[in-house]
Amino acid sequence: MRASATIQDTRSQRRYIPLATRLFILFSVAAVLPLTVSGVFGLTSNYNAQRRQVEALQQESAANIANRIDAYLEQIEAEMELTVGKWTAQTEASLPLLLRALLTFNRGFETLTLVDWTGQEIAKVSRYTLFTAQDLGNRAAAPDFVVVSQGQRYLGPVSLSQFEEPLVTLAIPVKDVRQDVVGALVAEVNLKFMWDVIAQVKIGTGGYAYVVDREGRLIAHRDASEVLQGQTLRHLAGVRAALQGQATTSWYAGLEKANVIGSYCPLRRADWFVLVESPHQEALANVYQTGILNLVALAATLGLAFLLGGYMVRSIVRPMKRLQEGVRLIGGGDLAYHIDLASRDEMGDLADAFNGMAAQLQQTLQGLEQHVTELKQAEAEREKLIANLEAQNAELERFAYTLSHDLKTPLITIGGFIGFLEKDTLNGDVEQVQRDMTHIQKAVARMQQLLDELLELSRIGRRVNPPQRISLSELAHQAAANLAAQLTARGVQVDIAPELPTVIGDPPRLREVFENLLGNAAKFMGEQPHPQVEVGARQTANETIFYVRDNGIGIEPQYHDKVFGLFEKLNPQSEGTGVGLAIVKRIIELHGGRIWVESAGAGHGSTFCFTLSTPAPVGQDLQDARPVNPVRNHHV
Amino acid sequence: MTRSITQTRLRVVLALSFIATLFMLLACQGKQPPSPTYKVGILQYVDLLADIEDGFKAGMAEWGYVEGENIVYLTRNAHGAIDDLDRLAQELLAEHVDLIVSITTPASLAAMRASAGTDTPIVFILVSDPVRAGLVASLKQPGGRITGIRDGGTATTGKRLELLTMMMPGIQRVLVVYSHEESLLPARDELRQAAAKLGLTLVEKQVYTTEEAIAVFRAVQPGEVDAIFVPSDGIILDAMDEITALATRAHLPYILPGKAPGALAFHGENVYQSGRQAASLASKILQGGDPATLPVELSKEFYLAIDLRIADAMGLTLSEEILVVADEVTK
Repeated sequence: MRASATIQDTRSQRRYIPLATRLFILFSVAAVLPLTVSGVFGLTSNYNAQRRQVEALQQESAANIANRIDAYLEQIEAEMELTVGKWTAQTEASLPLLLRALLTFNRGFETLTLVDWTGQEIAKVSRYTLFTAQDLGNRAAAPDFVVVSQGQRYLGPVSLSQFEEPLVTLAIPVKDVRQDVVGALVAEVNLKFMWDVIAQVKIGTGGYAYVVDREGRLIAHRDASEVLQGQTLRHLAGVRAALQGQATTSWYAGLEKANVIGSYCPLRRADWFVLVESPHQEALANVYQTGILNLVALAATLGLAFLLGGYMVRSIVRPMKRLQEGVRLIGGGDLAYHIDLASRDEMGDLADAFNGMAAQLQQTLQGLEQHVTELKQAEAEREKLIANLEAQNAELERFAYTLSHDLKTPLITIGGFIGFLEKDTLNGDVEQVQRDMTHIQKAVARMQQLLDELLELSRIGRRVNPPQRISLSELAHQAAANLAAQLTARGVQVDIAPELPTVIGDPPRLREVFENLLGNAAKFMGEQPHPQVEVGARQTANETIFYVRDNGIGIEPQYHDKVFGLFEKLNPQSEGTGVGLAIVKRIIELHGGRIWVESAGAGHGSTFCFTLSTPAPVGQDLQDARPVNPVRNHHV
Repeated sequence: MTRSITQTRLRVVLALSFIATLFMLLACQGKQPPSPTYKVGILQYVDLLADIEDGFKAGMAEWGYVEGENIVYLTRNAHGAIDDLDRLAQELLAEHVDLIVSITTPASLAAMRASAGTDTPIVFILVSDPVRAGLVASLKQPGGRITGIRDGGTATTGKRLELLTMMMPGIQRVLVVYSHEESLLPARDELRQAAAKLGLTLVEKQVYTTEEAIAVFRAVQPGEVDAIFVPSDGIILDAMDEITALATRAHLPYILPGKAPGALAFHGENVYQSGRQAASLASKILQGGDPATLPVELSKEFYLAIDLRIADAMGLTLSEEILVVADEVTK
C-alpha cells in the first residue's frame, strides 16, 4: 500500500499530457528534427554556393563593364592617335578641320585642343561652342600638358561640362618620327558613353551597375538623374571598399537597394571603379526559395505528423478510451458489460482479456451468490427448526404441567376415596364402601384414558403409515360411519361434499382428523334443534381449504387458538380429555398443513378449516408399519 | 465527439493553411497589379515641334504607359500665339492632369503660372536655359515642381553661326529676325558676340508676331544679306515657309535650330529624341519621384544635318568643310 501510494504521488506530480499530444510531439520531433537538420545543412551549403556564384557572376559583370569602358577609352585614344598622326603630315591651316572631323567621328568628344610643344594652343574646336583664334590660350601649366610633355598619356579628374555633365580630360602626346614629343592633343570626353554601356549590361532583374571615380563620385549609371545629381558615394560600404582596395565583395546598403551583394572591378585605363550591386533577396532567391520549400515541407511534415497522430489516436487512444470506459463499468459492477473492440491487435487482445476476466468474475460471483442463498436458506430452516423446537418445548412444558395437573386430579380423587373407604370399611358401611369403590374405579379409568390418549398423541409424530392417494370424501364418509351411533344419538345431519379432492397422505390419521372434527361438532351442538355438519372444500388462489362446519354453540374469538392446546377444554364440564384437537392439529401439521377455526362467536356455529400440502412424511421409522390405533372412540 | 470535431477542424485549418501557403508562393511569382490611369497634359507652343510629342509618347510607351490603356494625353497647342498659352495651360489644369509636359520656354512659363499654388508637376522640353528663365533653381537641384530636358539653345548659338559661315565661306551679312520674347535675349547677346568674333555683320529685325516675321522675310531683297540665321524662337520658326522661300529665292544658306522637314540644314537636338528623353523624367515623377531632386538633363542627341538635295534644289554649293563636319548628310 505504501509503495503504490508513492507511485500515485509521483504520478500526480507529473503533468497530465494526453496520449494524442505525446504522439503528435513524438511524430513531429521524429519528422521535423531530421528535416530541420538536413534543411539547415542544405540551406547553408546552398547559401554558400549561391553566394559564391552570385559573387562570381557579379564579378564577371563588373569586369565586363570595365572592359567595355576600357575598350572605349582605348578606342578614343586610338582615334586621337590617328588624328595626331595625320596632323604631322598636314598644314597648320587644315588643323581645325581635322579636329572637327574627329569631333564628328566620335560624339564622345566635347572639345578637342591641339597644343604645340611650348604649351600653346594652336587649334580648338567644340561640339557646342564657337572657338576662334581669339580663344586660344597657353596650356603650359595645365596638368594635362605637364604629364603629356613627358611622353605619357593623361587622364584627368572628372569635371562637369557647361551643361553639368561629367567630363574627363584625356590628353595624348604628339610625337614626331623621332618619337620626340612635339605637342599634345587634349580632349574633353563626355562620360555619357558609359551610361549606355552600363544600361546595356543586364544584371539579373534587380541588379544594377554604376561607375565611380577615384573621389567616389558617381560618374555613370543607367539613370541619368542619379549621375546629374553629382552624388559622392563614399558613404557606401561597397564604394569605400573599392576606393581602399579591400575585399571585392561586401554586404551593405547599396546605391538603390537597402541590402545588396556588391562586387567591383577597377578599370585599367582610369582610376575608376565599376560597381555591381544586386539585392541579395533576388541574388539569393534560389536560397530563399529553397528555404521556403523547406518551410513548406516542414509544415507539410508537421501536418502529416498531426494526421498520423490523429490516426494513432483513433487506433490507440479511442479503443483505449473504450477499454477504460469498459473497465470502469466492469469495476462499477456491471460484469455483464462486453467491451466491443473490432481491432485485431494488442488492443483487441486486451479487450478480450478484460471480457474474459469479467465473465470469470461474473461466474465466480454467481457461485458465491448461490452459496450465500443456500446458506441463508439453511439458516432460515434452522431458525424455523429452532422455533419449532421451542414451540414443541413450550408445548412439552405445558404438557408436563397439564399432565401433572390432570393426572393429579384422579389421584387426589383416588386418595380421598381411599380415605373414605378406610373409614367406611371400619364403619362397615358396605353401601358406602361400594360407592367409594365406584368413585375410585372411575378415577382410575379416567387416568387410564388420559394415559392412553397421551400415548396416542406421542405416537402421532413417530408412527406413520406409508403415504397413499386417497379421496377425502371417502375418508369423511368412513369417519361419519364410524361415528354413526354418536351422530345419530344427537340427531346430527352430516353433509359430505361428493367430490373432495384426492390427496396423498396417511389415510388412518386423516380419517382420525375427520372423526375428531365430526365428533366435536356433534358434542358441541348445544340446544340446536336441527344439528347439521357440512364437510367441504373451497379453492383459493394457491391452496385448497377443507372445512367441517357445524351450526353448534360456536367459539368466542379469543379462544380460537386456545382450542388446539393440549387438555384445553372450554367447558370443564364437557366430556373428553381435551386432547382431540391437539391431535388433529398435530396430524395436519405433519401433513404440512395448517388448521384454524372460524366462528362468529357463541351461538353462531363453528367452521374448522385446514389445508394439506403434498405430504412428505417425516417419520424416522417407516418400517414400523403397525396399523394405526383407531381413535374413533375418543371424542373430545 | 467534441474531440473528433476539434480534430476535424484542426485538420481543415491545416489543409487550408497549406493551400494558402502554396497560393502565396504562387502569388509572389505573379505580376504587379495594373497601374492606375494617368492623365498627362501636353502644352505645345508651335506646330513645328509636333515631333516632340510623338517622341514623348513613344518614350512613355517604353516605360510602360500605353496611350488609351493606362495613360491619357491631353494636348493643347497655341499654334504660335504666345498669349494663348496661359489660357491653354489653365485648361489642362482644369482637367486635373497628373503632369504637364511643356514644350519651349514660353509654354513652360505659362504652365508654371497656371499651376501656381498647385502641386502639379511639370516636365519641360526644349528650354534653352531653365535657370535663367527662372524655372529651376539649378540644373542639379531644380528645387520645385518642374524639371526637364534642356537644349543646347543659347550656348550653341555661336556654334550655329560658325557652322553657317562654314557652309558658305565668305559670308558677310547675316539676317536674323527675332521676336520680343525675353527668354531669348541671352541668345541674341550670344549671337552678337559670336558675329563679332567671326567678323560678321548681323542684319537684325525685331518682330512681335509670326505675321510680322513673314512680312520681314518677304521684304528681303536678293543681295541684301548673305545668309539667314534662324534663332530658336517659336514665333520665327512658325514662319518656316517664308524662310525657305526667301532662302530659295535669294540663294541664302540657313541652319535651323531643330529638325524640320524640307530644311536645308539643322543644328541642334533631335527633338523626337528629346521627347523620348523627357518621358524618362515624366515616368519617374508619375511613380512618385520628386521633380525638385531630378536634375535637368541635356538633350542626348545634338547634331548637324545637311540635306544636299535641298542645297542642289536651291542652287547652293556647300563647302567641303561643312560636309566633313556634318553628322548627317543626305545626298
